[in-house]
Amino acid sequence: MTDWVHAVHVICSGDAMAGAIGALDVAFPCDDGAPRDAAHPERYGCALSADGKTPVTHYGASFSVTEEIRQRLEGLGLAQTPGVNYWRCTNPGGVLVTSNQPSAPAAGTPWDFDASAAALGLKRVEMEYPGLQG
Amino acid sequence: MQIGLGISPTIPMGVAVPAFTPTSISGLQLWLDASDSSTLYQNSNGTTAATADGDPVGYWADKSGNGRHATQSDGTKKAALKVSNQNGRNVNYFDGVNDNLGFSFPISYGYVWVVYKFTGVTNSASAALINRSLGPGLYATMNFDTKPGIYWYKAGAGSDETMSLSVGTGTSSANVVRFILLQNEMGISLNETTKSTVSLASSPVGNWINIGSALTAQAYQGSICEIVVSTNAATDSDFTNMYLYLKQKWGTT
Repeated sequence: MTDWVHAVHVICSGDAMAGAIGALDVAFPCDDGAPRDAAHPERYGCALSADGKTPVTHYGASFSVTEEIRQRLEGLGLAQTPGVNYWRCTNPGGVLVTSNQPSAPAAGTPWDFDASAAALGLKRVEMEYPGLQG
Repeated sequence: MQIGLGISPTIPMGVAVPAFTPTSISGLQLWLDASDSSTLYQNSNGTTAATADGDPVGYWADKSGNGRHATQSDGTKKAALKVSNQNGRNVNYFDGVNDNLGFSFPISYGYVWVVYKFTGVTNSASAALINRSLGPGLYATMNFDTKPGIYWYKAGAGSDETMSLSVGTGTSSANVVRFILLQNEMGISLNETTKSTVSLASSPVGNWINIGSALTAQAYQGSICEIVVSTNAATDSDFTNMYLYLKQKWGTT
C-alpha cells in the first residue's frame, strides 16, 4: 500500500502561479531542497488556454502526495487562493474526493487531470517544434 | 554426455544456454528496466524503494554499469509506479502533464530500444519519449505526435531533418521501437516489422537529457517499460536478439 494516497490536480491562472509555486516549496519541497523558479511556470505546469492556442492563460499540474503533505498543502490555504482550482482524488484509483469547484461532480466520481481541464473549459496549448509542421 | 540430433552444434546436457540480456551486446550505454524492482526509488537520491502501486518514482537506476541513473527531485514531476501493469511486470507511468526524469547522457548517437505503451490520445501536442538538450547546435529527439506518429527530429542551424512512421502510437498494446541515430543516418523500426531510414546531411551533436520532456507542452503520457542504448555498431543478430528478448519479456505485439 502506497503512502502517496492522494492524487492532486491543480490548475492555476497565470497570475496565481507564483503563489502556488511558493506554497509547493513550503509544503512539498524538492528532494534536493532547491527552490522552484517561479519565473518559469512552464517548467511546472502544462500550458492551457480556452482555445488551445497562445496566449497561455493557465498552467496545470498533477501529482501524488502523502497525507502529511496534503495537510500542509491544504493548511496553507492553497485551495482557497484566488485563481487556484483544486481537485483531490484517491491514489491509486483516481476517484474524486474533494474540490474547491462548485460545479465539481459528486465525490466518488472517476476523475483525472484532463477532466479537470475540461471542467474549466481549457485545452492544452499546442506547441510545435520549429521546422515540424506535420 | 551430449545430446546429438544429427544437427550441429550439439549442446552438452545440463549446460544452460546463456539467456540474452542487454549486457550481451557490446557498447551498452544505458539500461533502464522498470520490471526490476531493485532499480526504482521514490526519492531522487535512491534511498527509499518504490514498491507499491502509485508510488512516485524519482530514481530509476541504470543497470548498464555506467551510472546514468534517471532522477527527478521535484515531487510534482515524478513518474508513478504501476504494479503488474504490462505482461505481469511493473512499469513507470508518465502522466502527460509534467512528469519526466532527467539523466546525464553525453552522447548524441547510438542505437536505442524503447518498450512503451502510449496512451496520450488526448494530447494534441507532440510528446517526447526521450528529449534532447536545449540550446544551439544539432540535436535529436524521439517523439510521438498525433500527426506523423513516431518520429525522430534532428534540428540544427539551417538543417532541420525529420523522419517519421505513421504507426505505433496506438493505445491498444505495448510496442518495441528501435531508433538509430548515427553520424550519417537515422532510422526507426517498430516491432522489427516497419523500418525506415534516412541519410543525414550533418552529424548530430548534443546530449539526451530527459525521459519524457522537461517541456510540459511535450509531456509524454503512457508507460515506459524498458530503455536500452548502445553505441557500438550492432549486428542484425543483435537487433533480432534484443527484439525477441523485449517482446517475450513485455508481451509486445
